[in-house]
Amino acid sequence: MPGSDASLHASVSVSQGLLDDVALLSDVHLRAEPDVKKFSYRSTDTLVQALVSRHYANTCWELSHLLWFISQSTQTTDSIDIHSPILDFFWLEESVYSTSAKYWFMQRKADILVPDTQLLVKDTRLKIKIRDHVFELSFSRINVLACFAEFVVNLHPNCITEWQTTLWQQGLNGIRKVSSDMQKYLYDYLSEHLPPVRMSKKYAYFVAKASESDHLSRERFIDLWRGAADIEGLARLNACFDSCMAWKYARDYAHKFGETTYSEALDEHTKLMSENSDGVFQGLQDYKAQQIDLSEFAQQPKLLSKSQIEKLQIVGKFPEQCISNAGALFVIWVFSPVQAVLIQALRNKMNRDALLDKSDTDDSYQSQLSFLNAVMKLNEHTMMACWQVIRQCFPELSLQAFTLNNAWVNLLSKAKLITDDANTSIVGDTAENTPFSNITLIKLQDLLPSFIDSCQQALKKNNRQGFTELSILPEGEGYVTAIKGLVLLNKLIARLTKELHKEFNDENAIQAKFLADRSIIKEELVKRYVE
Amino acid sequence: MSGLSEKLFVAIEQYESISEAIKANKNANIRANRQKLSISQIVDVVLNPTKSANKDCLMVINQHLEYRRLYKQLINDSYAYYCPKQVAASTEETILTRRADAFELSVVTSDNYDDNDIQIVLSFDDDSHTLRDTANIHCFYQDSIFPLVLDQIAAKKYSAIISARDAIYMALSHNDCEIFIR
Repeated sequence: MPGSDASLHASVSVSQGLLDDVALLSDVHLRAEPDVKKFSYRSTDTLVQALVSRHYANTCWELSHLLWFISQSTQTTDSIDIHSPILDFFWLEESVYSTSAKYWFMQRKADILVPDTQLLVKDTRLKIKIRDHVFELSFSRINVLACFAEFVVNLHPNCITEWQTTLWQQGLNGIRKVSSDMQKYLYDYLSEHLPPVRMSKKYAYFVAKASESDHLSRERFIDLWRGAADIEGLARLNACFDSCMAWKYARDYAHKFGETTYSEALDEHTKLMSENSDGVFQGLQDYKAQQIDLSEFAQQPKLLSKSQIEKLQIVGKFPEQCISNAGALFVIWVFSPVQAVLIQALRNKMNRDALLDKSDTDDSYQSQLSFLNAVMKLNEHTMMACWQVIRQCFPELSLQAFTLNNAWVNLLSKAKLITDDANTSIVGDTAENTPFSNITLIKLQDLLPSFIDSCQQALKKNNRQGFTELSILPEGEGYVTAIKGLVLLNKLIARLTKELHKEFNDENAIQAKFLADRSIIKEELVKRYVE
Repeated sequence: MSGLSEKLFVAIEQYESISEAIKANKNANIRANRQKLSISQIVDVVLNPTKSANKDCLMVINQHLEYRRLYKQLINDSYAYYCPKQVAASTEETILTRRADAFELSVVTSDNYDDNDIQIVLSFDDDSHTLRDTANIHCFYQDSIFPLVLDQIAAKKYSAIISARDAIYMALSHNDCEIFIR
């Protein structure tokens, strides 16, 4: 869905408060040609996308190579001493489009002080060779990279000097350092900039909903949660629950606290918060403790991480909802974090493919692949473990109940109904082309016992530290036997979610969130284990 | 009322990482209060300090230490001539003359003009600057930047007439003033 991505990111940039900083970039015009914008719309949009998806590592890597190339270039007609070639390239000469950049490089000669180094200006690209490291940079990327450079310098005006000193007479180490510093700046910027904006948005949502009713019943909470599907940070049940409680507490506290002297109270409170935050939040700690009964789960071995346990506890508060919406909950609770990791890994891989020549299968590409494999294994492991824990959470749902008696029967039969209509499948469902397309979901019931066995085995192997790469089963057979069930289950859940979305009457938002992403998982699983 | 509860809400939301949250809020507020400038705009001010569109930018730059630093760094890096602070002060009676490596800058009060008018004359020793029609003076004085454009009157000579009441005159005639010329 590349077409819708642009508008999506544009709206995201507005909602997340990036707009000011990006608008600053899009207002800049070239000095030589005041009608021409310094950065094209495409460049600023790429910047926003990279920032919002936090996927800027490769661009930083590219940019630091470009900076290195620039900083090694000096003027051929050496009448005027240029202190900073970087400043000259981006801001004095403004060589931010491919032709002007190429001209800039042609005018200068590389003044190489690093041994075993080669710099070449070709027709469409720059080529850098430092010992074994070869990097090629297309001139068509110049505008995007210049846009990035401007953004980073706006955040940290000292950058130009830093880059200059770091890259001077340095080889690959200098490039690495510049790249990692740049990433750090962007990371700091995002973590400082995005959360308050996001929270204000959440707050506005709760305030808008508060007029309807003051009492927070279970049904009402579910309502709130469904309504917040398109608000970032509230899509997951537990996050919504936490935010809702925080808002309620904040509102009550404000009522109590600010009745008489509002502005003084506000000042004092802000001061207090910054000076001694522990005291302020002590009350909250008690409040939270009342909401969540930790003893329930203290009996369990520490199979899951702290956040996963919290999720379980919150889910535990809504057993009825969990039974009737088991599929949806499972998807939301287990799959979305897994997807986030996986999709990021896949994006990294795709980007790497684009950057590297495909025929060039060097070590780093292989290591990337093996990393991806490790991530996949980790995710499968987590999924299975979570599945097992879900089952343990509801002892009344025995295996028998899961397959035959209870809610799952309804779910399965529902799913079966949809299976009959298999051709009108979910958007992007690539599993239709796999050998599994003909297997009816009834077979899931046959697979389920062995699937659950595998889950248990996986859990037993898991140590108390939770899921690390080291705790992955070395044999891997457990995964292979379980994977068929997993694929089928995944498919089942996809169908169920679609059905549930119809009920929620909010198909687009949720579909965009889950279905497209899940097909990536499925594709990957099928590719690696079935073919 | 809503302000307080919103503040609390934000704080509670970040309960897990309190210290970071507070730091973030502080920084966010500082950022929000600052009128933002892009480095391209600042470079433009450095290159054309008296362009009418750049006057607002210069005001913002004068208000913020960070921008002034950047401005100084940029002008330093853009092959400008530099004249540091002077040790001795000048009085109104003496004719002020600033000498640096490649240029001489003198303030001439002349009978040909009104009492308040003052002529600034800049002469270069070498040819490197003579290709341009104008020369820009940037005075750094008392945490502010004062720009002045001089027109070419002869080979290697530039001049402008200012009023004694102008802030730029105060800056130029003070020994604490650093001067960049490009």
